[in-house]
Amino acid sequence: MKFENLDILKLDRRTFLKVAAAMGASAFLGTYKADIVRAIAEADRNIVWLHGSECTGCSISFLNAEHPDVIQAVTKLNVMIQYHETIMAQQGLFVDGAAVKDAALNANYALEHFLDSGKPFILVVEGCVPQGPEGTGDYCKIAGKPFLDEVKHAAEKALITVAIGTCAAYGGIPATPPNPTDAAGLQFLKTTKGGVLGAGYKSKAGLPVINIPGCPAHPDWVLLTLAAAILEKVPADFLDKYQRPKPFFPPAYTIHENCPRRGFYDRGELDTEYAGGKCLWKLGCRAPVTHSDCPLRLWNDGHNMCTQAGAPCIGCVEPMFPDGTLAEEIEKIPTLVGVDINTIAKVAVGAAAIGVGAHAVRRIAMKEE
Amino acid sequence: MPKVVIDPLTRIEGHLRFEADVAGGKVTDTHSSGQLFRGFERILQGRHPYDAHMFTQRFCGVCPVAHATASIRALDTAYGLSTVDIPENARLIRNLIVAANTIMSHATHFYALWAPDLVNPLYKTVLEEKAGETGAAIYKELAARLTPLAGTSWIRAVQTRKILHKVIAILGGKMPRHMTFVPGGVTVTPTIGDIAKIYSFWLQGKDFVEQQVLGISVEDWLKTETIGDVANYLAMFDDKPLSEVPDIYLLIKFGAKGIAENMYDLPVSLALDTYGGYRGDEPIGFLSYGVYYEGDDWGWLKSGFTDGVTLAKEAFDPNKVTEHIQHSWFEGYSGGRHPYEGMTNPKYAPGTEKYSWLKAPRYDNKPAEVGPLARMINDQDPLVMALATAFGANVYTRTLARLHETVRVFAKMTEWAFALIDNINAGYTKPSDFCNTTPVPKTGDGYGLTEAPRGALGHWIKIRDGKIANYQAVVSTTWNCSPRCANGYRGPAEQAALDTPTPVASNPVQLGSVVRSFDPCTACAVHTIDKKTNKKYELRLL
Ligand code: SF4
Ligand code: SF4
Repeated sequence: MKFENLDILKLDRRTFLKVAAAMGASAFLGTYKADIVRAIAEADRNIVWLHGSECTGCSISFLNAEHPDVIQAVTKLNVMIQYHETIMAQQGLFVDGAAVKDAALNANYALEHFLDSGKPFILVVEGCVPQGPEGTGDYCKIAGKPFLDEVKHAAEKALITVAIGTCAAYGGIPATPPNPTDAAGLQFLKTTKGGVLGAGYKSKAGLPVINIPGCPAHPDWVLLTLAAAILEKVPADFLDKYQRPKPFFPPAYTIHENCPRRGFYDRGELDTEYAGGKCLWKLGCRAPVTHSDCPLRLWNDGHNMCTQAGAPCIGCVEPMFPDGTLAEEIEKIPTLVGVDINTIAKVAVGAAAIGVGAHAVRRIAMKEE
Repeated sequence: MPKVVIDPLTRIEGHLRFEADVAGGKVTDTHSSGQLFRGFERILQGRHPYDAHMFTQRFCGVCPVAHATASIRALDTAYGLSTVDIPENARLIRNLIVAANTIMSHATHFYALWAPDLVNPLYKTVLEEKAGETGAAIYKELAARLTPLAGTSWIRAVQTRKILHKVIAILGGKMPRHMTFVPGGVTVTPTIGDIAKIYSFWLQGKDFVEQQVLGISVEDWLKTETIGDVANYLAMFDDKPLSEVPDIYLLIKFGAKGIAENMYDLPVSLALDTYGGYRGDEPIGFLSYGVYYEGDDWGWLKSGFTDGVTLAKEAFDPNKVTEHIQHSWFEGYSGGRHPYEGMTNPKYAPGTEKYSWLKAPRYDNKPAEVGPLARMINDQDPLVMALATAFGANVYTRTLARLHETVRVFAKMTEWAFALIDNINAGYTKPSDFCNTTPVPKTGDGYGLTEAPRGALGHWIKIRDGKIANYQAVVSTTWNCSPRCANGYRGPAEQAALDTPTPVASNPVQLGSVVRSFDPCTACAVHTIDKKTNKKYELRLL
């Protein structure tokens, strides 16, 4: 196999940022999409997709992928989905307490059989992992077994482990205080490393869990990351400190910087009522502290995104999601993502000042007074 | 007497375990058991009311729109807003989003979740044994269309469903999880160009519906009202080779014993009309809350409760809804309680009379089926009434009701889209034409009733000191897949699965098919606790 272009994923950080800055992060990956598609065609990979405490939203979102779409990726290319509860024909089957030993009929048997085969596979986990009550994991059971045990068992054998969606990555809404089911993400609970697999977990390929947050995750983020994983072309600095792929979740900038409504922000035109068509800062927009390429990539085949539709970003890709109160101006929330809000406000305002014009910031400041 | 357990029941959303005792090749007893508990409602307490619809639409990735709708209607009422206070544009946009999601969900359910059962190897054997070459040809056609990831119809449906998400994205920012519902209206202000885009997607969808599903125009299909009309419809395609008939033709003709074997004298059918119904020895009814704004009213698809035995329809009375916990992993009261006075105090106790994380909602103490069949019956839809009268309630009519509702809602979408265009052309484009932005009340109680694709859905909210004091949701799958109630009556899916033919215990395909025909979605069907304090939550809402 030769995919020279894909070595872009291995570029050192400086060069990467330079290229990314020149092309825009989404153009950057978009350009190489064709190679990635070809790469999937030539690779031969098994995928085991497990659902924990979840809503299937990430799977549904995944089905919205375009160019390639999932059907192309799965049917035309050599990707074998060995287990996925929402689409597989089989179901879990027991007769008189004994598992039906037929992989064509029994989903659990098919899964165990596959995991025991020793074949390399990519583990995809959707949904967080409830550890309660009292550490038993009984709040989520599949085939009579706590999901907690199943996910650990599968993760031990996985070549690469990918957490899809904010729940699987960081715990998401179910793990929000008071965290009634004692839920956690695979390798994080909110911003704290550890999760159910432990801080030291490494998959067989020597990688920590790759987190693709979002509520739900964007299908491009998932497909392109899986492609990189299938190729085993995940460079050492591919992930940020919350183990998110940097091309989609750029540490250096936020959604606010590329927002379609940014012009209004720069002119200090801030809506205080909904449907006003201007900047949503005062309605609680969290984009200034949210790192993702939503405004460049857009959603549903490029048709729209939250702020463009007048809906304040709720920061659904951040580890603390849904911290604070979604509807409040960010200045009014005491801490965010574990950082003092004043620091963030400074960073956000600083970025704006360096960017489009300090006058805008001043004007906002004046208006606020 | 073999005991068959399906766990997990795949091709549904969430985690459901279904147990059946089998004797003489038939199911003799059933237990439906929700296997996942998340506790969202508890997490909402103390938060800003705005968070409610953002959180609750994350109950479920398949019908987030339904939860957002129930929640936003609950917030509207808690904020003191009635239907007339919601600008007409916002009502139309809400309708369009709900409609698009219902169609998307129904299409996904039929093609990707339910229909793959029809290509189970068991049917191959049965069809070939009883009908030789004809049977083999029927199976071959079903497999060619419906096999997951490979069938032609499966692939086209799964690809086409994306356009409905694009429609929602245009009006909602993105999908899953549209973002634009807010108390008092919507945040989005679409242009004529945006609506033109929606219409173009609608036309693409229409091609799929007419070419692949119906074989005739949407308008002509909606004229099908009697069994005679159905027979005429079938006759249009009888001379065509199987590879050229529309999907619904295969289902209508070969799905029912009453049609394939009785009307066409074929030696075999899928016999979906012979199971998944009700014995009638336990109470059962069909319940719907109504859905879609119609002018200043609610309920373009009407609400109501129709008794399953007498078929008498009565007006829906929200006070008749109660929840029982005798057989659920909760404790604290006996009998039924109205959601306003509900109590959620969990106690996981496997191996006792309790066997599910789902409570048992009852209407007037009766178990009630919710979903498209119930909606069509309560709306007195002529075609579904005719089918239900001729064949009874079963897997066959339940599935056809779902497809028929899909076509009805699909046709209705243009009406709303054109009304929106008229409003925009008439200059109704101010922010206040889309949202009546209203401050959070210090105190307010509200409830929102709507219909998820899979059935009646209600949210109840109580706001105190400007924060959520209590939040409670009674969701569709809790109705359909509920365990037994305090009176010992089985839930609707438990009743419907009785007598299901199970010739091979190790491959209970019909049983799976019955439960799936309810389109279960269990992630949102579970309630709330706080394990740390084990405190009882008195949910006295309203
Ligand atoms: S605050 Fe939000 S709406 Fe305003 S420019 Fe930034 S991202 Fe866009
Ligand atoms: S804009 Fe914000 S809320 Fe919307 S998808 Fe992106 S990160 Fe999530």
